[in-house]
Amino acid sequence: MSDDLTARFLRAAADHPHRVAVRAQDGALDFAELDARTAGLAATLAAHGAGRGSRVGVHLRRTTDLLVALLAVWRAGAAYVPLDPAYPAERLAFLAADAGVALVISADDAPAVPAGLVIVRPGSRTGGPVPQVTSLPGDPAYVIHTSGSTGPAKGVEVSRGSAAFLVAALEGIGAYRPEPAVVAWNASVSFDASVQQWARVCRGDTVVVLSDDERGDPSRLAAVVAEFGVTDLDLTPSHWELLRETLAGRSALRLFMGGEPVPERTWREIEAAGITALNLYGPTECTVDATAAWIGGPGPHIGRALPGVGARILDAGLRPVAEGETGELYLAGPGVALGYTGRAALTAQRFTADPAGPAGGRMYRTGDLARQRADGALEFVGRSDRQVKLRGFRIEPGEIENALRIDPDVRDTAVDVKEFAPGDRRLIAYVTGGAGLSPQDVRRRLEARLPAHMVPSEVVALAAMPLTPSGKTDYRALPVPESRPEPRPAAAAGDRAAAVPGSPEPLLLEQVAEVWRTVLGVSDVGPSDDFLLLGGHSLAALRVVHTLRRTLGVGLQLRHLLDARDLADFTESVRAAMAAGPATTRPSLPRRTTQDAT
Amino acid sequence: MSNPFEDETGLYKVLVNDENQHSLWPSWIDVPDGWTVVLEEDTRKNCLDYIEENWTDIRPASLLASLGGR
Repeated sequence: MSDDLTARFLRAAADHPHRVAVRAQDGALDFAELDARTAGLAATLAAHGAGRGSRVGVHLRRTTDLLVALLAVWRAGAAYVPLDPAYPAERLAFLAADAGVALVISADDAPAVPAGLVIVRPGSRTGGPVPQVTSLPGDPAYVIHTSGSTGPAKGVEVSRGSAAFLVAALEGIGAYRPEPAVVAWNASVSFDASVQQWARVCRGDTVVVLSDDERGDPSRLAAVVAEFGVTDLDLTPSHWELLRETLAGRSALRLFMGGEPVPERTWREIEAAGITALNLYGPTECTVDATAAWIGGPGPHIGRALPGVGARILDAGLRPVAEGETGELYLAGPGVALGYTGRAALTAQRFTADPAGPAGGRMYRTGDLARQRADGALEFVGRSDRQVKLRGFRIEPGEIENALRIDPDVRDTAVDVKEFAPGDRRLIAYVTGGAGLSPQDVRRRLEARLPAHMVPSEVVALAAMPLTPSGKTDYRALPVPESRPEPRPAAAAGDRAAAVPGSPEPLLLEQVAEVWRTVLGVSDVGPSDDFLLLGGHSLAALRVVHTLRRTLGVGLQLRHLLDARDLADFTESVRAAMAAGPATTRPSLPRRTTQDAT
Repeated sequence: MSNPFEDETGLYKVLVNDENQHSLWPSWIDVPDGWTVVLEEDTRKNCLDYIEENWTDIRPASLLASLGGR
């Protein structure tokens, strides 16, 4: 049985009271201070009735308070439920109700949470007794929602024993160096990758909470890594794409990659850079990680099951397949979650009896297809269903379709991922409806219901859904939309620019437009085009800024692009940045052409 | 590749272990040790309806007992 994480935290606080425990843009707390803060907040939570078996919503931005709150919920004996303040109110209401939250920790004056919930401030300490809870390994630690394939999101309920097992299992394979680490907390608290980042504090490691700006901006992230001596960084392969130049020279940094398959090119890059990196695979339903591989050698692969985890590749009769053959991956062991809270039938379909485990044991059916290599390593082959991973986000197109069907103007819908350019995959929604159907309005209404990562880049109105001979939606026949109505020769864009009064110098505008076209995979960009409306998302924005920084050597910021009205406006910012002089960071970087940059 | 738990026209059982955890189970596959059949061979839908009706809290029985009805 793995050691409870709250107990480990209390020991770490007693052993190293003056070591920095958590650092964020709002300040830092040492272990003694974190102990005191979490004790005070846990007492307040207990005074409001939180304890073993109850669930507390955490509605906080990425500050030291966030870590204080999560740990205080555990100290009170309860389970936490992340309620991201960036989510739409309707989504938060659903999450809170679905998880049975009665109490919410929030710093907002008027948090967008359902009426009737009791709000507790993260800094509050009512002065009551600090709860001395004896938690059992089966007590729930958190409920984290994942996308639902046929309906709304489902809350995965994970026990404290599973969370403790995760940390112990990673320790068991040597994932962590013996000396105290400085861990960057990169993942959103709404996703379970965050657990293995923030919970490192329970081992006595220092956690540096990255702000949203720092997560998204390679130069700022590099500055944080350097300033605070970050030793461990979790990231998705998509995030690596943005950071690779920044990180390539930092072989002292240990990387933990997960959330989506590592592409072969990335596998080679990391190996060539001499970076120690783990590829971690696992669904939320098995407490973050189930298998691990050190990146390097023939690959990519997802390695071997963590010690204590059973990883079985089974055929349609639940029999093990032969080595090298593809089957569906089932996972067993202490990391298997309690189930989907409030969803008995769904739980019983995915968390099933295990023919190969201990009597009465369960296994989780991942829906992932895998095979085992001759050397024992497992390879991820694909999905047995429609689930997709997009920039590390696990998304069920069925949940988005479900949300679209609520729209009064939508008759039928299909959601799919389409590839616009190599590596540029976007979520597209197809809808049919009456004469008044407005794709823009449909998309706007969807934004009020779903978190941003689930809102399709584009909503396309079709006269009718393409069907297969058996009458089902033919997803492969759904057209890849043109981002622009009609392609135009590149020179024409320059002419258009010259015709706009007060427009920036045409050559620079064309240069910037070319970067937009390359990154967005669109054939035409005009001065009055809005980056976001062309399908630009935050990662694409970063690529644009990063490319221009390198090619022009200017100190351009991400906000220059996000704040710009259109291409002309953004080009003005680029011109101003050029006038301000060369970038101060990494001036030794060789300049490259735009073509090399992508 | 077809999954034995996803056959809409197939026949299933409902199994329960000592923790009152329920499992849908393909009727043509041997019942694993430590599991008891609580609903004999039936349609997938009827099995799922049975589970929704009879398994009212997915948390393990030992945990619920230790919480004393919280």
